[in-house]
Amino acid sequence: MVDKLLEVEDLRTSFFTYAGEVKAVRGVSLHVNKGEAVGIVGESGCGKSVTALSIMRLIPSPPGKIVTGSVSLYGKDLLKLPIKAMQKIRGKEMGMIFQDPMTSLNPVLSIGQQIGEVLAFHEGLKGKDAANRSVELLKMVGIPSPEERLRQYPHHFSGGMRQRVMIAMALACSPKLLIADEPTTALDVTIQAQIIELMNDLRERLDTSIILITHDLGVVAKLCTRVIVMYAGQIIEQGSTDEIFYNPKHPYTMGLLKSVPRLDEIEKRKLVPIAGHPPDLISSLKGCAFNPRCEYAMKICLRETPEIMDVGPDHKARCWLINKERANEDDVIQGQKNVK
Amino acid sequence: MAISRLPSDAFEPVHRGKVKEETFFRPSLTYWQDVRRRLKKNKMAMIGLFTIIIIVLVSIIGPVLAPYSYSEMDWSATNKPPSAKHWFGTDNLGRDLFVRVLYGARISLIVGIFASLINLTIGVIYGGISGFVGGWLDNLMMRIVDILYGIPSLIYVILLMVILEPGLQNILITLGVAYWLGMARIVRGQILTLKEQDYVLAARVIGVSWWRILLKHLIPNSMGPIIVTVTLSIPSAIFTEAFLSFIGLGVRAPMASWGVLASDGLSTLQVYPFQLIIPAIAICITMLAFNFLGDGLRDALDPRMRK
Amino acid sequence: MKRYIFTRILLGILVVFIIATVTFFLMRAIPGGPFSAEKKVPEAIKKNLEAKYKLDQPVWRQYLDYMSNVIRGDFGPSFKYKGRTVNDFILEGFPISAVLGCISIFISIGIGIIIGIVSALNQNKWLDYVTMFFAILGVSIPSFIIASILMYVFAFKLRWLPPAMWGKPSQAILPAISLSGFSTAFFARMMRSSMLEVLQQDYIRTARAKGLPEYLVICRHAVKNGLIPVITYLGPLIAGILTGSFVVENIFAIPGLGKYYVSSITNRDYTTILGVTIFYSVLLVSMNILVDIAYAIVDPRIKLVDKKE
Repeated sequence: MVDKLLEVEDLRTSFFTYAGEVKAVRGVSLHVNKGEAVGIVGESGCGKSVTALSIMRLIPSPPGKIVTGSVSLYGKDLLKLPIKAMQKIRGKEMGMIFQDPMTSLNPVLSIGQQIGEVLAFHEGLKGKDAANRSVELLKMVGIPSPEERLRQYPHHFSGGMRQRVMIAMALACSPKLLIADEPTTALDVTIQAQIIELMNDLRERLDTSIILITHDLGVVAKLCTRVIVMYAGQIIEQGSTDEIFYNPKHPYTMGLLKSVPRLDEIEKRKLVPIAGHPPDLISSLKGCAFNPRCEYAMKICLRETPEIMDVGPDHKARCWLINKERANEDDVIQGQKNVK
Repeated sequence: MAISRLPSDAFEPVHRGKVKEETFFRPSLTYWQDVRRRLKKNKMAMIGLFTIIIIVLVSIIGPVLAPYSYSEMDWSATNKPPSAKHWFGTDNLGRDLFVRVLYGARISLIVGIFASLINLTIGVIYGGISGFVGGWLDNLMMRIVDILYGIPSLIYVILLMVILEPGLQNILITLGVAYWLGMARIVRGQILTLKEQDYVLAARVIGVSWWRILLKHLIPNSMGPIIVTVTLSIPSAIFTEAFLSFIGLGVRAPMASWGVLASDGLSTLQVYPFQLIIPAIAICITMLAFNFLGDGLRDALDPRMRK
Repeated sequence: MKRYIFTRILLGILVVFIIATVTFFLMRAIPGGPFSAEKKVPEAIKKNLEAKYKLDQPVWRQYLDYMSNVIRGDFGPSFKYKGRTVNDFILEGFPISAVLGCISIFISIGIGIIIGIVSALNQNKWLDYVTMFFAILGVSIPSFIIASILMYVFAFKLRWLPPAMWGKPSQAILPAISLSGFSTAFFARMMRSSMLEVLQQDYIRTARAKGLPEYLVICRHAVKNGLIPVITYLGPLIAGILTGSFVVENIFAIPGLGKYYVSSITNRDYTTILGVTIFYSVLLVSMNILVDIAYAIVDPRIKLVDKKE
């Protein structure tokens, strides 16, 4: 059995707004193995970022609150830790980088100060030692002339360079887990590739596990060994990258894959967007959250929420279509086409 | 095999044709509906609004009903403390303070509202032209504002009052002329940011005339900050008038603004504190009411707060 | 940076020059004022007076003379007080006003900012409500009312503090509180909203994600950013304290420059009005330049703008 680094059990996070409780994460369970890169994909607002922030216990409160669940790092439940102990874990055991490198660095502190404070707080490095280590880190993430760069402020850096600084900062204390929340979304495509390459390289070199949150399936394919698909605050399908890409079971995953253009296809295929919008998480959802947009929706889908079920050895999905009680379970798509 | 708990028709497909796009949403509110809803929810702002309405009504109706006039002296009843006959007492000339405070309210409100309207007009025209035309004209006009901004407006106001001689009309002119700078800057800033917005660009691309863009896009969208600035400039005008009256540059006797009353009251503070405290409370309540309303409006109009 | 300061100083000199010129001609243009020739005084005295104030010369000549004197720091004689010069008033009054002003600025910034931070950190809790209630009260009460009420309560009723005059530290307490009341409240409100905005920023989340303890997140990351918009209000703050001193010095009978200025207005002492106005403009313009430099020091992004120019 592989080592489980992180295990999230039935995580539920809500935001209590004037209009009511927004259930952003509705019972998410997942795990990350040592040295593994796991991708979490889904549309905006599906709860993937909130899941990540909940793991770090960075949900802005109020209005946000982790209602129930557990997040264990080497079996230690982070949600039960006092805040002081949690601070020792953030940045030391788990690092996080964010979507927008333009706003994620403090504009009035120099890069050296911002990296240095992590080293000072977690490792007790000060002065020259901290500076030397910072230079090493900047070198590691591929920033040229790091000694000079240390004295500069974020506005002297381009977006890609800032994201490298963010990575250097997150990895400053060699954490076991790096959570990357849409790290490439705000960057140019060429820069995106460089950042992904860098993360992949660092994962191999430092043996850091990665949770990559993104809506870009290409990025996932490049970096991750396992994929989790989220919809409306729940995991609707998870499995190895190959399984998810070549043998998707949930209509939503299929929809996601169909809506991505691919260069490697010889035959020009029409892109198919998923009709409709994700549901409003304020209203209580009846049945499967995806049913209003699902072209295979059945009567049961309107009434009851499906449980997540095994499809294969390393593949689970949350859909009535794969229910064993369903009569003709052989070929979902074929069957549906016949109905049409 | 698990025992079936599902009805037999569970797996029948649902036919509903094309998925409708806009059916799963909360009803959306227009911007102004949203503003009104948030303003109504803000208790302090509503208290402020009602207080202002009451002050306006009382200052209009009160002096008409009162048995005394603001300038009527009664030498037999000078410096009387508040009583049933004179609710707020009388001053050193035997004038009824209640009536004088009500008259003071008229003057303070007239000053506050008209001075704000004057600087609104000047500010919107100046800032609008500067922001809308842009280029060298904008540069020039804003340099002028920068230079004027370097002088504290109060010194400016004092100088003008020294030249123009005290009096209600001159106070209005002076305040209107002195306080438009902030408004001009805000309007220009709004117009400049809005001009760059994609929807204005889109309107230009499809050939909408500048005039229509100004009317349909720029003015309605810059209303929010303008309303807030006007609301908050009313108390600052009242404040300045009180200050001017206090240093003897305000309205002329026997007319009395709150500043004049407070200034008169100060000289007898040790013996007849009510002569100062009553107008002081009147000023404070009015200022508070406008500040509450202004704050509430700002929170309600701030699009960043919109959820 | 040097270039930035240089242009700011040039612009400042221009502003002062414009104010001086406008004020000079306004004072000459007052209808029925001392400089118009309709005064009913004996011819001989009038001649003497005109010679003394150089009124017999053409206006442009008077203007040039006056301006060249001002550049040398000489604001000329007082128009109302025989044998006194405007410089006398400034030299006597300004040190007193400066002490009172500095105390007030110190109170406003220090206490205002601390209150702002504390109530932002306790947003929507009772501490926030209480402090913000007092803050809105503070910006709603004119300084002359605060001064009068403080004087009534603490000097006349409780007899804890002296009601007037200047010299002992105890005499500075009531004036300083009256003078700083508005700006303390104003700064508290500014700082609170600025902090609330900053606390929403991504880099605060980054700081927390790095595991920094909350006091470091607040002190190092939030406060410095929160101060930036507040610093822009230092200029108006100083101007507000200055104009506030006009009334507060009068109420507490403090022989500062503000009191001289107001009595020169009531006495129609035109040369003093003119001189002190110019002096105040120089003071405020230099303060504004200092504030801009402070701004550039706190916000490293400003320097970039400077380099591009």
